[in-house]
Amino acid sequence: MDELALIRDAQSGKVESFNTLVLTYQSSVYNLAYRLIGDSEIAADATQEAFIAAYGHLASFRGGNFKAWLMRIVTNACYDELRRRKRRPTVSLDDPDDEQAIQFVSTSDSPETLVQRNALNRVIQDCLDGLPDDQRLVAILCDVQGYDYQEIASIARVSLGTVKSRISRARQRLRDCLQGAGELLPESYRLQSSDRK
Amino acid sequence: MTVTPVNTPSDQDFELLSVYLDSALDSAERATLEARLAAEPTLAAELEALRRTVQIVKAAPPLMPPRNFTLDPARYRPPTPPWWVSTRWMQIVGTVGTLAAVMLIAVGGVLFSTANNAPSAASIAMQTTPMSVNATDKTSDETVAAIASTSTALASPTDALKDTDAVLAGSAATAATVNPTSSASDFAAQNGAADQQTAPSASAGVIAAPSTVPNTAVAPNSAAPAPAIAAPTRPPQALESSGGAASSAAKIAPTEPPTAIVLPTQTIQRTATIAQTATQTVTRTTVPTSIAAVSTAVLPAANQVAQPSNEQIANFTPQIFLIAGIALLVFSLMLLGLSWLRSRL
Repeated sequence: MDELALIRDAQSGKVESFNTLVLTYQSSVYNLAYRLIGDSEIAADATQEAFIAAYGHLASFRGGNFKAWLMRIVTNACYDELRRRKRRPTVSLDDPDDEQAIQFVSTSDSPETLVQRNALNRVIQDCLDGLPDDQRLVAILCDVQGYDYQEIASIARVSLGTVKSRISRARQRLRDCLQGAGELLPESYRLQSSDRK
Repeated sequence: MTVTPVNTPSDQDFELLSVYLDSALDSAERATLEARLAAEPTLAAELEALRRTVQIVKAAPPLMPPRNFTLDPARYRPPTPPWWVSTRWMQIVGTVGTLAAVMLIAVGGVLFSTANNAPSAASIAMQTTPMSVNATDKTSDETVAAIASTSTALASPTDALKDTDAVLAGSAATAATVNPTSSASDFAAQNGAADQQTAPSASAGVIAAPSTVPNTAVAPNSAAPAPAIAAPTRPPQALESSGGAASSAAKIAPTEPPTAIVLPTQTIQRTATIAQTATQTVTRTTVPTSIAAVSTAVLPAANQVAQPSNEQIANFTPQIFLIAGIALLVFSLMLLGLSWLRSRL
């Protein structure tokens, strides 16, 4: 069944059809939430809230890019969560360095590759966390999720020029951050300062 | 030895490099930038650093969701919309309502055309009244004359009340005319003193003729029917000539509409009082059979005129059908239109 038919069925009240859409997009939604928030548990909660909100507002979907519409909802859910955390800072009981809380899609890696993947993921996430919220969003959408400028503008609800400038500034910050990470990155991913002549 | 100045790329240059990496520059901008990259090694180095940065970020491993985020159908079943919002309900009710409205309008149209072709209730009533009067004419001219004189007296009680002596004289004449063999005149003579003392008693003598109607027949209508009798049977001209009873009776217009005689309210009330008094007085008088027959013949006609409301209501039935049908049609079409709009959205 195609996506449009699933959306129409879900709009008519079929939760099963909506769940099919959830299974299709939950990985992208959760990854965006995790990259925006940086905490797997909170990202999972935000993802669940986003799907519930999407189902509740499904009648307002008037066609177009359903995935972009879903990403906008999860972005709002994550921003709400980030504002909540800023108002009431809490200390998570989970160890942020606990790699067991994070599961990668690829499970056939060797232990050495898995260690390198964890190290790369931690550095990238730290660098993303250091970005302002608006730059972090466009950087994730563009460089992690692979959206084009027009889709990013639709999700972030900003103009195309704003998207370009935000991505440019975010990449400069990320470049500086990754250069500073140095030894923390796997050797194959190190960004040497000699790259900037 | 010449030192080439190292130009630090501006923010605009970084933005151009970023867009260039994403292959989002148009051909002219791309050509311009590539020319600059070939001429400016610093700019080329910045481009390489950005390209490497993007490669690293893109290498971020995708995460597996810790669980499925599907919704529980039992918990997140959407609330059923109210039955009256249901599009199917709107379509059913709209269709049935439209059919019913068409039927109502059709029935109303048939009834309306039938009602227009048939004579109205008022005309039927007016035709009935003269028939009774004509029958009375055939029965006895004297009786009609007596009724006419009595009606004159009843219709103009104000004059009688103003001049009691004149009324008493008229009453003697009327009594003699109406019932020469009865004891009414004797009764009037015997009670003359008492009648002269009070106006109602005197006027009782005046209306001795109508009071000859048997009590059993008059009692229920003793107050109201006096003007009712006068209205359909007597022309307005009769009111002006109180002395010519016989001629007035001869002038009874069979086709005179009831609305031709409009008695003042005060006059009607006094007439009703006089009729009531007369009824009480006539209990001791002999009732002429012919007058009683005339009265009983006239009263139903008066009742027909006095109760046209049922007929009039019946005349409104087609209009009620039409109005209800049109209202139902509008409502049904609105429902159908609303259901169509909902199906389109």
